[in-house]
Amino acid sequence: MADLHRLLVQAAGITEKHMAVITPNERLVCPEDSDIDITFEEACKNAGKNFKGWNIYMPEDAAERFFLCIRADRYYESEAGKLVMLLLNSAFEKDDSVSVYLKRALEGNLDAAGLSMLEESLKSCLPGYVLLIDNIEDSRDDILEILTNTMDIKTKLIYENRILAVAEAENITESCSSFIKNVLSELLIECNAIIGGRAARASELYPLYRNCIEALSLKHIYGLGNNVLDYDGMYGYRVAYNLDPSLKEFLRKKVFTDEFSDMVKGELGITIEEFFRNNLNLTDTAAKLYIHRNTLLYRLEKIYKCTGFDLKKFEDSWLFRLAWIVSRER
Amino acid sequence: MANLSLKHVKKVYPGNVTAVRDFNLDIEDKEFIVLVGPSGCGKTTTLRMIAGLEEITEGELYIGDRLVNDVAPKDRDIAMVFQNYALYPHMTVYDNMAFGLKLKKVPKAEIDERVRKAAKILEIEPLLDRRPKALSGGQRQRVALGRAMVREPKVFLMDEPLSNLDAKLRVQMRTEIAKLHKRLNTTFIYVTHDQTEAMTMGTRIVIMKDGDIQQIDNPQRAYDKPANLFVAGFIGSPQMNIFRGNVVETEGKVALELSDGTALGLTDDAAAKLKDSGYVSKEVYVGIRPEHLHDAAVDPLTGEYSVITCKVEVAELMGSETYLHFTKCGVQAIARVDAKTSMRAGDTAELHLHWDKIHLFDLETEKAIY
Repeated sequence: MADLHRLLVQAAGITEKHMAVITPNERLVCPEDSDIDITFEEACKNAGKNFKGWNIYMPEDAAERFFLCIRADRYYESEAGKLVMLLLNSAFEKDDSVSVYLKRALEGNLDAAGLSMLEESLKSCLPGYVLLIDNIEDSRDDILEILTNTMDIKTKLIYENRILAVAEAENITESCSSFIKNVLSELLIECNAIIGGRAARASELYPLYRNCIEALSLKHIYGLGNNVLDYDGMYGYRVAYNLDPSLKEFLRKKVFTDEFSDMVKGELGITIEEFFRNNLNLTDTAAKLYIHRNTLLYRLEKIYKCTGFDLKKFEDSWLFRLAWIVSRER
Repeated sequence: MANLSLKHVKKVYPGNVTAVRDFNLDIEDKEFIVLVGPSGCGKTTTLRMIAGLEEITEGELYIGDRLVNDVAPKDRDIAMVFQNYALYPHMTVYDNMAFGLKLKKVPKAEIDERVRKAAKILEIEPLLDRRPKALSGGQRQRVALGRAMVREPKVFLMDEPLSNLDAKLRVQMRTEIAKLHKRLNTTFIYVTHDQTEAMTMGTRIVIMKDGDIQQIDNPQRAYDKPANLFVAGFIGSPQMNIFRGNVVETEGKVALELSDGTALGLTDDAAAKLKDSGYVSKEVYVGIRPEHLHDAAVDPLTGEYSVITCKVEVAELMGSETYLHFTKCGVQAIARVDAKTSMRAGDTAELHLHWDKIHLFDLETEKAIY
């Protein structure tokens, strides 16, 4: 949508005409100074006619069904409209080809020729971060709109009721976090943004998309509350998931005795989570939990007595952390 | 009308982890309720249940007279404001505020009216043409509030909206949010871990710990009459000094004795309460707020008071007052005394304490005795 907006601004600069576009998903895209007031249905009805002082044009390929609206005045020159229509068609065609190749790439069935076509089509989109937006409910158009307005989206497509996008941002995690908050503020929908990694070439899109899917699976398997997942930051969960089942069982039995399993359902569980979240820092953890440092030490001692793991020691803490993750596996 | 009612609300996560248990609260229309407590106490979970982002395991939630347990978040007539003021970087302030309404296909004229109305209330009218990059942190936070305001919700839900602002701005913004509440006359539910925010903003505060409500009260009452030891320590800065003391009865008079032999007198009411409840010869927690300890040299008390002597370890001049840090009966304590004090590290201070300024808590249940 941002591209279309730019295109309209450029076109208005060349033709000195006010223009707007109604897209197939019923969105109105117009430069800030336009005050077009028309719905998609009205545009359909009035294609090729004048409506409220705007001339409505439909492209030759009616299947696209997006409409160009040009302010009708006596200086109107049909050439200007045709020029913009041409630009729009070419922009949409380009996007389409990217989508088709992207879809095929995601399905893993792109041959060498297809890959080279994709490489060519995505030239202007890469390098960029591969993002997967999950849980978009029935608001995918609104969510797409929020996404494109929150960060620089190079290309995007809907795939299996998720949004896949290639994005560029100075701090991609922060941008994703802003996007999640924006969706929540505007639509009260809590979606997930998964960062698969940074792609430099089209051939990397498929593996990075698989990363997104894996990260999303790990979120469900381990019941992670985060709405922004960065695959590269999930080493702990990836290692835990790929552990040999017998080793997982060993860890569970070693740490999670019946007594300890009961203990961690209350304040001790919160203490452990907070201690890890604060990088084993006693002072910060105690402050966040609003307990005295000695109370925290007492709780850690309780864990040590029950499990044999002293969380203040690095050797014990990483192994305990692994067992802690394994224990959350659903 | 947007009164809310939470009846026996409970949240249990998979793995049988209880985040909130038996939460009961009636929120009046136009009230400013603050949920406050340390990390993991269940305050955000409660807010998310009100928003509909978290399923309620047990209990009922009413907004107005309507049971909303199974109502989708977007149909609850609420708006949320977050700690991370996420604005659309390429849009003007006006468009940032109008965007949500455009998505909802609200007529243009109505959008304009609502945006300008909110901008006026927030005093950001001159900023409407600016982009977020050209705004200060406080201005951005106001725009974030404006985005919620234009929705004209029945209830505002705020999840630590000020936690990423610097200290100075936080102070400024908390006043502004409190003022905004008065102007909008709408129900606000605000979550914070900061007791100062809770005390300064809320008409009532809900103090939580480990998924349980510890006390629901107006800020002053929560401060003056904490329901238990946790609330006593959590509310107030610097924190309440907590000692252990024995309840002693000498010649029919009930008093307290700290482990170093310091005797603390009690009012007749407190003494009677301790005696009637069978605390004589038992140990209790003794709570003393730092501001209730007076430097006898510059601010002596009259009437019924006790004397506490201590060796000053650190004297911190805060401008209008001085904090004297000392250790008493193995407890690190603070006295907040008049700035005119001449006490310095190493000096022996004589501190006065009014009898009626003592808080008493049961040693086992930690509940307030008096």
